[in-house]
Amino acid sequence: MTGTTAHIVRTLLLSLITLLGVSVLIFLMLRVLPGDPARVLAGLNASEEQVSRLREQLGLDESLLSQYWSFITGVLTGDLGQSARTSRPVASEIAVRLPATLILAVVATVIGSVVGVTAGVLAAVRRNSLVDHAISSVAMMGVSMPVYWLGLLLILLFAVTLGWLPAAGSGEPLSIVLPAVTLAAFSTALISRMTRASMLEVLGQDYIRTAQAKGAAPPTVIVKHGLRNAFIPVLTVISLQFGALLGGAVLTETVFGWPGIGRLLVDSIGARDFAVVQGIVLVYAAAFILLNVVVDVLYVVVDPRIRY
Amino acid sequence: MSSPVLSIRGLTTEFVTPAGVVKAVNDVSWDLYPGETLGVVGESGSGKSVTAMSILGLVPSPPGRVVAGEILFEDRDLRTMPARELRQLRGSRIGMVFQDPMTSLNPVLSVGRQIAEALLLHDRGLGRERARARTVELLALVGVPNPEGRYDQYPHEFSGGMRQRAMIAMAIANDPTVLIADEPTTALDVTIQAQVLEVLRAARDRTNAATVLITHDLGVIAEHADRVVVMYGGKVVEVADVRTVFAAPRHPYTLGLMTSLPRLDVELERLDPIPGSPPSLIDLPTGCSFHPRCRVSRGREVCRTQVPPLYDVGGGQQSACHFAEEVPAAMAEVSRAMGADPGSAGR
Repeated sequence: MTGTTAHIVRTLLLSLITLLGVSVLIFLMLRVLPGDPARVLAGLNASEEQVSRLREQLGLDESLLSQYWSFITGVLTGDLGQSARTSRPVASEIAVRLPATLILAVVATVIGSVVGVTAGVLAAVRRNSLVDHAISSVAMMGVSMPVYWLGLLLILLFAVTLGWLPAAGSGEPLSIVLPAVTLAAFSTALISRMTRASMLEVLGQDYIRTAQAKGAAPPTVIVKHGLRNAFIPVLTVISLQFGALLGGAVLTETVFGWPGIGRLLVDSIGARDFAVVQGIVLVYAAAFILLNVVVDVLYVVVDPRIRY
Repeated sequence: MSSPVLSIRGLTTEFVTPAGVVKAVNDVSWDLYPGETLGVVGESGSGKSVTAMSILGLVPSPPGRVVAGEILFEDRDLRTMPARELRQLRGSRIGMVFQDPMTSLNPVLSVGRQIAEALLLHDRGLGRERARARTVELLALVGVPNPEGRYDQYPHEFSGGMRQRAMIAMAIANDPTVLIADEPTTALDVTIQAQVLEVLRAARDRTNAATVLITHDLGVIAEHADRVVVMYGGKVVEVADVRTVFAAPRHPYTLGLMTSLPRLDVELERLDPIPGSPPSLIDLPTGCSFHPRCRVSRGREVCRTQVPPLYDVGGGQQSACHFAEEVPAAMAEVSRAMGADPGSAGR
């Protein structure tokens, strides 16, 4: 395990360089976007004078280098700056919105993993049967259906027609069901395909036959000897999907009026609220890096052959 | 002789492939008696391993299927037995050692746990601790050094020979009545082969299991088997006790197997390998499937047209050759040609 600890420390140190690169990239990308933040913020009827005063206030009249310097020194001291729109600290803007996105992504990933892995194992065990074909078809739909379309259909059925679940917002505990299911559709499909492929490969291995020769019953053979060996690629897909859900929940959050960070990001880009966009992107990058470290550790737990 | 513990009657196993139906095992019958070691020998693709898989119901399906025959274990047919009951026999009454120890152990479970699993599957009341203690004993029995420490190691931390020892420990964990070893040393270094075979012999002696030893190595047969079944093209072509097979084979294929091997006891001028290659199981030659490679047939029509049945040639020996009585003469002739004294061709 000492090797693994060293690996984690090394990864985290290296990730500082990655984060620095991310900060430069996002800083420059925002600067080359057309549109003057001060003008957008000041509104249509603002005078030239008001706009230039605002520009000064936001520090936009300084050189790029000094703007970046004040941004990055702020980050290093834990200060992500202020939102140009609300004048509140970026950190607290993110802190308010992050939990909603996080819980949505977690619930969607749990749904995707449980349903996806189960469906994938079933499809592999009953290869080329009706069950397999049915799962494949549903998975194909899950991969290809756009989120906003699926979301609207679900709202129409469960909220409007049946009235079982709330259509939008996050007021009630049940509010999370529809957005989470919508968000999970793609991951579920992807995870089930990956599980099926990986299981099919593993089930043909000699050690599966050994387990059968020992007298193990099919569930033991499939789960204990099969799934554990098939899990590494599945784990990779699950973690990548979780990362994507964190950042890619924008559409779902919009359709369901979910007060998450994805909508904050899109709104902030529209308003040229540089500080907020930079803050969110940095948080995403850090989350991705952390996620990768966690997955690296999980690999070691699942497969004893993996050592760092 | 007492009654057999395992009796195979007319076993036929097919594989459906895009190229056609492969009859991997074609009407195979043999008996295994208590305490004996039955050697099953033949080239690759002769149906040895598929016979073993068929016995335990482990033929991958699809594409494989046991289509006919009886597999009688203590007078019960394993083929028609409910899956649940067959599972109870697997690993407890019938143990199996597979060919490739590099791939036959689960890479993500510790070796000890895999052996303990064999114990726990058949004795639920055993408990983890006692299963562990028993496993450590078993590992010691098969000659794994430091068994206590090795218990928690994973297969990739074991060498090939050590893994095969672990596989043997797993197979004999529940003192089986029948032990099937499918090419147990083929995948191992030559230096390790003899050791592993000794471990197998010790394990067999301890459990007194009747053993089916599948191999393509006549040396292994000579050393370890009591009786021999020779297979060719999915069929049994000769059955005899081990001395008789080497001294006086009665099938030209058996003779060919022997004359294609170098010997230490006699100075040979040259070897006499079997011409040609094993037949395609999809498109077997008509009549006796060995006839295109046979030295005894000499183009006689009956070899091409009629499938020879396996019949008694006396002395408990069986042969599936139309001209079994001509084999001894052929043997003398080959021995002379090879430069060996004809009288010493057998051992």
